[in-house]
Amino acid sequence: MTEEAGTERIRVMHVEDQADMRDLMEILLNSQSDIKVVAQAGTLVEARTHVARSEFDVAVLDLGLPDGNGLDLIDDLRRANPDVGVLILSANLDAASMERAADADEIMDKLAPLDEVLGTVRRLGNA
Amino acid sequence: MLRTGEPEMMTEIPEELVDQAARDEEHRELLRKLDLRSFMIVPLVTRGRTLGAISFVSAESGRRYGEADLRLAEGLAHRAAIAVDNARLYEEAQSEIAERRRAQEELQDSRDQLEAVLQGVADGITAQDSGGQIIYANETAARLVGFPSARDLVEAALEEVMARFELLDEEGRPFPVDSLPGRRALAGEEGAEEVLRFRILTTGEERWTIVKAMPIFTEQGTVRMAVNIFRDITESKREEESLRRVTEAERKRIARDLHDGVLQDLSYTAAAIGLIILQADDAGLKEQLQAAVDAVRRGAQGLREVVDDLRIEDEEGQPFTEIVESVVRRNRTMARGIEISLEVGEQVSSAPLGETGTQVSRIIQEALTNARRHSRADKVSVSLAMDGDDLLVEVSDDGHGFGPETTPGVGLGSMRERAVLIGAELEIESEAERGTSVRLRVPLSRRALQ
Repeated sequence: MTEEAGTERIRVMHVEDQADMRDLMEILLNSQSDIKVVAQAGTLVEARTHVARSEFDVAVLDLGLPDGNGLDLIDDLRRANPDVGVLILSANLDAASMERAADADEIMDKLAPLDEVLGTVRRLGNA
Repeated sequence: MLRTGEPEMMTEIPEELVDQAARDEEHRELLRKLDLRSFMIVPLVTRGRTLGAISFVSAESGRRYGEADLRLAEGLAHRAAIAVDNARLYEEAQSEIAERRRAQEELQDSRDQLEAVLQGVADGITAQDSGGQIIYANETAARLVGFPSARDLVEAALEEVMARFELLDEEGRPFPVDSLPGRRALAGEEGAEEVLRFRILTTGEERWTIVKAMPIFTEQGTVRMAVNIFRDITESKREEESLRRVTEAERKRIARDLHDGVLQDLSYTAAAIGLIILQADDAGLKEQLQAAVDAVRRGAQGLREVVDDLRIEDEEGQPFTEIVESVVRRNRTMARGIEISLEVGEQVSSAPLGETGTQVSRIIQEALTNARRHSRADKVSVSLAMDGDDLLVEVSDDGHGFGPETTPGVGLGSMRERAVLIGAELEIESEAERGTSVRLRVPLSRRALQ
């Protein structure tokens, strides 16, 4: 599909330590005419550089990162852009993470059907 | 005469009598030479018994006994009898004293032997009188409760003994003094037994013991005393504890490996197949791939449950009400369209409930998951209350419920299993269009937990 003039694609940052999963999400999101992955990170440190330099509408975060928890990014994200949508996408949500995840806009299971994930990214991006 | 006990006297002994008394010719010649003239015999009588007799015989003096002599002889015999009797009584008293001393020594010996046996056994032994005061203790018992010697323990006042240590149950909760086996034995209970932890306050040392107590009754059937036997199980408890730590570390490692490795791979696999489905045009192929995705999801779900169970023990030391609050908060995060309320009754203690607390929170979690996924409810209420020693838990929703014709959610079977595990009663009430209530009655009294 070609990008229509005047319509802006939803800009997404994806933070995920698993490279396979990162690549897969990139293919998935970029295959959508209205979504574009503008930044990817495998660690918290990497993600923070993107937060400082890039602009995006939606952040898709994994929780378990090699250098910390994806939740620790939420404050930085909101400071940089109060309107940013935050989607937690995690394989297993333990009790402590779930409670802290209350700050996110949405929490989804990595096992959720992909069209649901796409739907959620759209909803947050267009909000 | 000895038979009658009466005195006899013969003033003049006739010669014929001497002849008759002689056994033979030689004897007669001897008796005649003695020239026996007069004769008296008086009995030795005391306290109505004849002990013997004294014979008086006069010979060459030619004296003849008269009544006055007889009275004198009787007086003499009376005194002699008393003297003889006293001598005998004295002798009897002496032998009785000796006998008693011997019996006492024997008793002391057997006491010493018993003491040696009681001191030698590995178990602590104490005896309490009906007022609870310790009247006997062996050295092991003294050591178990933090006294330097058995004598110190016996001589200490009961309050002083009790002030030495903190009494805890197996899980480390305070143990009520009135439930001590010794107290119960004094109240007449037979076979009272508890596993207790004594935390000695001065040293901070903790000792685990199995305490058994038995009452000893008087002939009238009242309790005379209680005997306590303390078996120190500290070493085996410590071994259990370190084994538990090793097992826990192992469980955590397995949980982490499954979570970080297998679960991530399964998530990726499901997403990767999902992506192919989105890109594929062939309806038949899509269908086949969807079946594969579903299977991977089921596997991942099962694995999550395993990981959750492996992590259960982390929660056991947490205050119970905090665990429930955190479950409710978590579900509020996950189910934004549903209002979840939590009400905790005043009587509900926040103390950790160990495995019971974990299982109860899991049941609440499953009830909330069902409400979220299947009920289409707007409101869910969670309430905790006490009814005597029982904890009452209720999770109710205003959703569409499941009538008898509907298949209950997957969590129901597992809720039942968990309830059985902690001896709780589970009641699930669901009516189409009337919502669902999950009610749980959990016995919390110490006795019920055993």
